[in-house]
Amino acid sequence: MNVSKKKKTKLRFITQLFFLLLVSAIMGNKLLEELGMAIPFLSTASLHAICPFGGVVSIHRFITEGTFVQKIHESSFILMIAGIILAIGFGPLICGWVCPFGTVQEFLSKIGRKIFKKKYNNFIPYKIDRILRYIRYIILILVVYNIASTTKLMFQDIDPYYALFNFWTGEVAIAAYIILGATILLSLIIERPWCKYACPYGAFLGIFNLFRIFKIKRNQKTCINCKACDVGCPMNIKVSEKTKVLDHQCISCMKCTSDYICPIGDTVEFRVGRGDLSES
Amino acid sequence: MKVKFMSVTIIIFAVIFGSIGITSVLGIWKTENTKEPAKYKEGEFKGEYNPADIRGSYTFGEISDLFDVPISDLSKAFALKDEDESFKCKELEMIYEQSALNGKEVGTDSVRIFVALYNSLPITLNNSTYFPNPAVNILKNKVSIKDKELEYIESHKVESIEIIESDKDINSSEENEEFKVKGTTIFKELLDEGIKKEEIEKILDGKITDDTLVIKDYCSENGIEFSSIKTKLEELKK
Repeated sequence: MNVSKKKKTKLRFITQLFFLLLVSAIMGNKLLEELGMAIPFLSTASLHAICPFGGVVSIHRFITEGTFVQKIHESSFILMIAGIILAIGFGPLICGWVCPFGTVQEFLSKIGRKIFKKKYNNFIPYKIDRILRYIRYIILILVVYNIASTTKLMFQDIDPYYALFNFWTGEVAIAAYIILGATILLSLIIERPWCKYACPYGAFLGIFNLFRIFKIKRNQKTCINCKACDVGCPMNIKVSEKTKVLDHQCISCMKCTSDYICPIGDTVEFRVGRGDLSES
Repeated sequence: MKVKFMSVTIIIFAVIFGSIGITSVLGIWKTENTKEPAKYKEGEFKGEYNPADIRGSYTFGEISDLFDVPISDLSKAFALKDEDESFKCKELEMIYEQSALNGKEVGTDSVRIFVALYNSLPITLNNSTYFPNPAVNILKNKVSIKDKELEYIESHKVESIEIIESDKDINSSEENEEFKVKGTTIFKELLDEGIKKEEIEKILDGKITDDTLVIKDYCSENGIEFSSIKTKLEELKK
């Protein structure tokens, strides 16, 4: 990868790191607040208050009763809308660029890659893997239905993201710790296992991939079929077999593009309209 | 038109922090509860605050103001030593931790149902929710509740840990002279006195499944004459 490309791709890493540190700092400040030592000008919001998925699970309650599910506040709803706006335009940018839990998994993947080399992220046979990817929709339906009927945030008890940022609070259920541990271990053999198979918010945002405005598009005329885009995709999408990516698993990380891994300029691009791409 | 890494970075920051900024200016951005519960949407109580929306972060003082339940009754019901207006509902879970371990959860939902029954408001009676003894007594003596509700609270009561601890405090001066097993003594008190569970179980000739059980209740459930084991248990302390 040339220097110019490296500079560009660092922007994503910096963005991910920024949001990871921001969420960690807010969680730390919440702890300090309980000790009466909160840092001024830094939020002391709970993780639920700054998680856009809280808004998704509150939609039913908001429509029927005008309030939110327990522990969810206006901020979750606003962030959910921001996530949807981004998803309509560019797909699940929240997953690929913002989500701190995705970032943690991605950082762990670097260790996995060093251990397993080319075998990393390719352990599960494609046919089985494809089916497993729909589990997250079952989880999404179950979580939304359950929360709508009980109005309690039951997902917290199995949420590894909550466990990661609240492990010191004593409020984390054992199941959440177990799932967090499993996710960490699996991240060493599979890239973003939670995102791929279990994340209900990822499932929700993934739906927008079917009709988002800016899409990942491949120019067949200039493509040399080296399959670098396939190798680069953390979600195992076979970009080289498509002219545009409509896969519900795409996280808009742009790793497959000519700005990152594709060796040929203007071949795999994040764009709207046909431009000079030939689409068969 | 294509987008590059830089554009995507700018768009992300603009949309997320723009949304936060705009809604903050408009006063919509809130990361904490407004402490305004939902209201009944229909029926006889339309427009009144619905106790089902009481959150764990609500303090007893706030509940007292919102639902017009005297703080003295709320504190007594949940066996708080003092009338603490800043006591948060979610703190009940810690006080009644032992009870929850035995599948009898006393927490925010207990407060919701207590407040609803206190004000004769409709609420779903959750089977997994339990109430301290004084809460049941207040509802029985101060409010007129339906037979079905009475049956529910009677079958969902637990011994109030704090009251028992208060009793223990009061009794502690007496205990210095002599430890007594009374009709209200629970197993936990014996264990706190340093008596081993095995020793108690040997006298009872049975297993103790719940440390918060009143010994007398255990005896009547298991066909044991309380007076016959009372002295034996007291002797374990000596």
